[in-house]
Amino acid sequence: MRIKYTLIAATFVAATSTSIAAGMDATGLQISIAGDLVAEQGFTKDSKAQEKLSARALELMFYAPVDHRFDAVASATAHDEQGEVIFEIHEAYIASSKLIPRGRFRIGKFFPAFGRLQRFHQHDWPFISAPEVHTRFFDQEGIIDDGAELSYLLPTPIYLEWTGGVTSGWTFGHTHDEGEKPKTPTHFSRLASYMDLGRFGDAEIGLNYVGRTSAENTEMKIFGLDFVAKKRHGRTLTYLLQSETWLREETRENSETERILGSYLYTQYGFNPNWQLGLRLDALTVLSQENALGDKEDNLNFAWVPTLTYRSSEFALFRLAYNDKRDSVNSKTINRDRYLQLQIVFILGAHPAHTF
Amino acid sequence: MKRSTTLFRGLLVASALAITACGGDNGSDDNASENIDAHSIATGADTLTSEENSLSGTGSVVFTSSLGAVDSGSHFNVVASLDIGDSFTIHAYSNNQLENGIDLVVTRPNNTPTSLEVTLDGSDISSNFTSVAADQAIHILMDVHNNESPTHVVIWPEGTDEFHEEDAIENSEDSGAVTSQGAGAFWGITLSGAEVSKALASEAQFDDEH
Repeated sequence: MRIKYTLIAATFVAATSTSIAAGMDATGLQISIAGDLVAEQGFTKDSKAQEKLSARALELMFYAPVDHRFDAVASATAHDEQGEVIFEIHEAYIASSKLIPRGRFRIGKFFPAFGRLQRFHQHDWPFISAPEVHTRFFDQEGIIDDGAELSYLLPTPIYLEWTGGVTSGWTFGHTHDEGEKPKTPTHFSRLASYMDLGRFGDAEIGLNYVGRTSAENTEMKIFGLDFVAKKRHGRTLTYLLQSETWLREETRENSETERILGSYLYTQYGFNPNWQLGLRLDALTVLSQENALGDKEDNLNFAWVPTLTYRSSEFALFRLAYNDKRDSVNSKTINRDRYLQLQIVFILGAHPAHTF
Repeated sequence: MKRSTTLFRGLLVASALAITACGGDNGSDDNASENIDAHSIATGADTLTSEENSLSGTGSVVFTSSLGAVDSGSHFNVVASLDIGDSFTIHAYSNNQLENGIDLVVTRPNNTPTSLEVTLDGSDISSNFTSVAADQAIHILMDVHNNESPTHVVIWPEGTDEFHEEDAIENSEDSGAVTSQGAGAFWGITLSGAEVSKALASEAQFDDEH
């Protein structure tokens, strides 16, 4: 039934897009449909790879100025989860950059603007799937919640922008229910700076904090550092360096604080506007992990993910990635998964400009 | 050669070296037997018998290796036999005293010895086990996803090798049997006259985020 509604919605948008084109010129309404297809093939016996091609997501997005003060964005995405298509609202917010000097805000449902991957739709990432640290802390795509967020450009000699916000926090991460009212709602803060590195390109660095205390009294604090550097030659993104490092402290009732440290580093070389080759390294460790006798368990979740991308244009790309993931405890590998991924992304209609 | 080119090529080389350095072996826990994970007796040192491939009697064991993070998922493969009046409890994501976890309790009652009484996190799920013969080996194939709230538990019937939600005999997301989360990263088994011939933990078999 959900598939049917999705198809009806997509068909309706496609069929009416021409007729409303004239209206769009007048209102500034932009419509975008993004398809994200992924196929996986495992190489290990118990691989978690989905050995089929599936539509990971189909996103319908509408955005436009509401009036002379406000803009608004609405998007809904159909996800394939174990063969069942889940259709959910991803974004529905009103925003303005005209009411607060040096500031902008948004109110509604959105991806809270902390970290790097969290601030982008999955189909706009430079690789196919999230690194382990992102999946563990923020789900496979990212946190989506209802609330308010303010960004303010600080009056300092160097570029410094602070973003902070509060969202309901009834849920945090992957869920199929509405959750429960938390003891402390999700709150986040990001202090970012942008740097001109001269011939090395440009870079952005952000310091992040995310906190929440759930209804079950689980207290979560996440501290993070995100970094991205780019060097362009004309239309070619010659170099991309992207990294996030996160430390999470989580204390459940009747339990000691668990500390998990995770990071990824992605380097990419662009041969021309069409072809890019990158390599991502992921690492994650549970710092507080002990065995039942109280002895420290040295543990590491490590992955390396070479990724080749062909961009036909900014509206279509084909991407191939090899994933080799290992879990080790006390220097012994306890799990290993190797699989190949193919991703196809296409965008119909407009697509909003990206931040750096 | 431009300095930026050198820098990025250096990063790629460093990445490749890191990959090489992280190549580990596929070892196994030397202290574990084929069917029973390495463990220590928590209670009942005098009444519980721990042999290479079985546990029997009355008492409890805690398995030595942790389940990784409290915020993770694991699969449990347990085989046990019960005489009339016996029971066993699987404590998942408990502390190392086997407290504050998600408990699965399987009992062969005195008054109805041909059927099993099963509770999960305190909720009666016996009706899902009517096809399981109480007088034969009881196979528990269970995923416990303690990285969901509440903890998501899925139990499959004996012989399952492809783990899908639709094939489960118990899915706490549908039944609502589980209302809490485990507070630890350990697991163990409490026996009350039972004989356990398999007790292995591994990574979760079912990924409900795909």
